[in-house]
Amino acid sequence: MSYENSYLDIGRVSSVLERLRSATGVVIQVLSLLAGLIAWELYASTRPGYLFPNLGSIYAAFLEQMREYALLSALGHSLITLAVGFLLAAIVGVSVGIAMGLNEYLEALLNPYINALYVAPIAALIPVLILVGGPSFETRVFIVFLFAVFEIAIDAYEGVKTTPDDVLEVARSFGADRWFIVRNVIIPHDLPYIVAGLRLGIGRALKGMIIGELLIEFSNLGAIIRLWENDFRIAGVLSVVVLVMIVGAVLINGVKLLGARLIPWRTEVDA
Amino acid sequence: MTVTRREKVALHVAFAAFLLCVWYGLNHTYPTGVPAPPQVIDALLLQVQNEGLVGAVADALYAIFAGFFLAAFVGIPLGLLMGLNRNAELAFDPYLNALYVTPFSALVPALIAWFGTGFQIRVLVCFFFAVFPITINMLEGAKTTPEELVEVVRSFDGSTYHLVKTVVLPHEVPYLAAGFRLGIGRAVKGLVITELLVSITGLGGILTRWSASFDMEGVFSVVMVLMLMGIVLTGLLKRVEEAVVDWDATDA
Repeated sequence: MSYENSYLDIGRVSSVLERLRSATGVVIQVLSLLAGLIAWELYASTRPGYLFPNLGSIYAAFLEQMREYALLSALGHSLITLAVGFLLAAIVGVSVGIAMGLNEYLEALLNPYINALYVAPIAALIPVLILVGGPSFETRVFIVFLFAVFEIAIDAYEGVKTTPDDVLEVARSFGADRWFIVRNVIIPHDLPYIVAGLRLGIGRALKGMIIGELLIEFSNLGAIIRLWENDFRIAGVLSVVVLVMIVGAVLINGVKLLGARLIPWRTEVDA
Repeated sequence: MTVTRREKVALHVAFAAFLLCVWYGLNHTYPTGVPAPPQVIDALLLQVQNEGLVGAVADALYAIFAGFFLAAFVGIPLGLLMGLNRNAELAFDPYLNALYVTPFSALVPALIAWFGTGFQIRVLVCFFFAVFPITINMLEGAKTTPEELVEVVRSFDGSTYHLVKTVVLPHEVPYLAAGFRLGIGRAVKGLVITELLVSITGLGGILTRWSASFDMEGVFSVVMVLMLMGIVLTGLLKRVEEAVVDWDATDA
């Protein structure tokens, strides 16, 4: 009796088991989320509604903000700030990161500064930026830029530095010049790192966007939060928080998927 | 092409001089917008003498470390549990993801309503900021424990307690050290956001008073204190990490 005709198809059994396993996984996640939501509802029922709203009133606040506070257009304007700041951060961060990886003088010069600013709380700079730049679109774009650029630069730099020596040597022993090596060896190796940097960077950029809007009074989503906060209607604060969370999840996964599309040879890098 | 030590020193001295020139140049062109370094130092001394800057910094550090230790207290067992038990990992995974995308600055207005503007809210935000990397790193460390070592313990009929104590936890050390370093950096970021948004007490209060009267030198000095806090604390834990971890677990 050959394996193909055997009564018990091991392959199929294990695939059924695998599917069962992933099905129980989904069930566990759904139950866990439900438990969290129920806990929220139970706690909310013991507290005054304006202070600790239940899920229904958060949703109602969301609908009211859509109707009367132009929530979606505020979100749109916020996202324009985000897009411009993030794009600038991507261009500057990737170029500086690669340049730093290729040139040792630049590396010695800039590395300490970029590492320090990477761990420093960038948010602390916002009061200075507001006083210098005023409550303008440019100031908010610059805040988004600062939040994202160091993460992107560090990851792009990391990718250049970790190019395997043996690959570089093969290229050199076939007489490849510097430009050819950068284009065909270093950059392809760097791309997954760049994508990882962009993925982490967009999350940071979003945080920079929202804190910029909160501290520079009355712009976009931040203004809506401030209005509802001043009316002491916490439901309207939470609805915007949830909206930003969803936007964040979509953007981060979007960058991830885009990366997987563009560089099919290696998609995940922990940076 | 390697940069020698002397070249490095020369490079940095020249660059620092260049930055200082740019600063004085900006001060010369925009005297109201950019204060000169001596003015900033004067403002700093004034804040220390008259406005309780040292006390505010001490309060801030206290909140940072309280939040950080709370995060370690929760994150270490949680990450370990998630790494060892797949069902636990699945159950807590959505919450960790939610924590990662939560815009805490937008949540601060709600937190003020719930916890006031004092010590509690600072500790809480620092906790939420720090608990994420600590948990994730513990999870990552537990999951990357070398399979063959686990099997050795199992084949000698070692208990789970024994497995965790002799194999998993030693393997976790470098991961946890890195988690602590990232965690303290994020705790400082959480504190800064809270100080900026609460803006009536502590460092945020001092900052707001100076910026309301457009006295840039006082804003600069507090901003520098806050930025330094993040850089110094992260650097300190980086040292601890290098001292504790003399082996590289990622090679195992």
